[in-house]
Amino acid sequence: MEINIVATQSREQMAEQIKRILFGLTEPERKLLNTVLKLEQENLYLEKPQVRQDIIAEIRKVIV
Amino acid sequence: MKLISMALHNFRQFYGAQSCDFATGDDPKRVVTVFHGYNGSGKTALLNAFVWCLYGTTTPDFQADDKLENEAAIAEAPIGAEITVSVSLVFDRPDGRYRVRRARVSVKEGATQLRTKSDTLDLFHTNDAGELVGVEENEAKLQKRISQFLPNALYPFFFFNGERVERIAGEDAYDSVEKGVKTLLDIAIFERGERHLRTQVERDLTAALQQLGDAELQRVAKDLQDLEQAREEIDSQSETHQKNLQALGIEIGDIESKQEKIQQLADLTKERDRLRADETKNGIDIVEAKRRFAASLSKSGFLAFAEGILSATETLIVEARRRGDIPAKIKPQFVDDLLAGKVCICGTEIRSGTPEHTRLLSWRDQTGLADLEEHISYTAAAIGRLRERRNEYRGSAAQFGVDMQSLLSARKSIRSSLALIQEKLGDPTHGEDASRLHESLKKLQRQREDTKAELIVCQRDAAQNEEQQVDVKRKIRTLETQNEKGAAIKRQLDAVDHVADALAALAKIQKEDVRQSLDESIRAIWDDAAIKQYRASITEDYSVLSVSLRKVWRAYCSWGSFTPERGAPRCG
Repeated sequence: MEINIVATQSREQMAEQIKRILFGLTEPERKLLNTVLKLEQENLYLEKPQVRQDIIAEIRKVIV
Repeated sequence: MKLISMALHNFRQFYGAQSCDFATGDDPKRVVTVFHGYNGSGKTALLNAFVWCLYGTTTPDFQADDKLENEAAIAEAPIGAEITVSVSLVFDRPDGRYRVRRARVSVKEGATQLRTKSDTLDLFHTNDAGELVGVEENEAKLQKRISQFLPNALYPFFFFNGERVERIAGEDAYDSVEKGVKTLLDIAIFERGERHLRTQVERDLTAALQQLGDAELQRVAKDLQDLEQAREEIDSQSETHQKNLQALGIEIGDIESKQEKIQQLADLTKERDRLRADETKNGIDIVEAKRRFAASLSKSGFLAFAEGILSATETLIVEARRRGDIPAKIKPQFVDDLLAGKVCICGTEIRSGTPEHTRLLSWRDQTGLADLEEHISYTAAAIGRLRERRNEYRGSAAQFGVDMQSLLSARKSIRSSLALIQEKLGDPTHGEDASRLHESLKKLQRQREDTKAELIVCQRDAAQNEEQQVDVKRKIRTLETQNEKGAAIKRQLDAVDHVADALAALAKIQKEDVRQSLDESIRAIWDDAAIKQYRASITEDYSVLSVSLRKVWRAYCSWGSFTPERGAPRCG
């Protein structure tokens, strides 16, 4: 996926970019993205979180 | 997280039960809570009460951190008696009110000796009826929840004392400040997500592919693994160089401040500082000049090569006019009407297949040029405008050359003056100390230059490795596999790649958002506080850039072809 982010842009343009990025993903990929963000948020307090197994489990669930 | 109140029991200087309600901002006249006291009265103890209550630890500079119990409480307790120390903290979060209580029960075994009997942590949360009820979870889970409210790495930015304020502004704190800002502003979750996908997850999936895929796929998967491993080594080396650079910077700073303290070197060190400031300013000017020219190059640079095509187009138009091709003599609509009406203006009937019909059709072909007429007239006007732009661009390119020459020659002169000062600083007539410091400084500066060079090599290797990984990943995608499981892993690797790309892009947007917010804030604060005609802004690498408004005005005038005497442009 080719994503070019322009450094200086308005907030509206940023919102548009975010929308474009999310719509550029397939439904299973969006699910994976949500899971990754949720796991990272939950483990943000840890210096070296062990999230690999949880992410792989999600990948195997959504992409077969 | 809004702090509401705190209650202490026998915590350090605070004997018995003590409590405090904080100003929460609900009352506009009470927005700040101030603790004022002499040294040793317990201000740092209060700070540590927060930290201990939330994390079960204390700040690194807290003395005798193993003894939290109040001395009077210990003294008055008989041998064998239990002494309880506790801290409760009430705070609000978007999902309601919380109360955390941490307590330690110790048994007195000697005049000042205590043995910890138990440590407990309780968490309460408001239920639907608005009552605080205990959260039934084990201590590890409770601690996890609390750490999620405010990650441990962030508390030093909220609970700190005077000494920490000084350290936080030091160069050695940059890393931790950067990490804290990224965590606090949600950049870290995107970056960590991308990193985990690109390293751990991708590596596991590639290893699985190596086991399951066909021979060729296995070979390419192995290449990817090797590249990933090499990348890890490069990153680790790079990190070491960065740390070394930081440490060298601190050591160099220390030696330079020692030099400043030597009386005979005072004037020279002042001159060195002045030259360094000039060097920094010169560096900013060079970057700014390059940025301006890059903008001009990107907008109009192509016109430098356009004269040939502009002249050729102009010649074509002139020739078409000379031949009488334009303006078109007959409009296509006129011929279409004749064909539709099947009668010529001379009254001849025009039936399909007749010579008259064929002749009219050939006229219609000629009228095709009329469609171009509008475009040709637009192009003729555009050629003039493009030529103007081309001249402007050539002017700006020539000006850039002149500016750069002057800036580079200024840089050369500053650097040679600096080298001269450095030499003078090492003059043996300034004494043994000065000479020794000079030698140490030279050695450290050499080391710093070497480390910088090694870092550049690492960056180059990392970029090369990145390109190779992209190639190998592309190859993995194109390779066919007969194995169904192998094909599924390929799909999963694709998805991981897409999601990692998306996370990297989201992190970039989030960073830009943060930079813009900082830029707006710092500009407002600066405008309010600065006396001089300077404007502050946050650059793309998060440095604060202070620019003279007069200079900006001059630069603006030169970009827009305006002069200060002619006044400000009305638009644009």
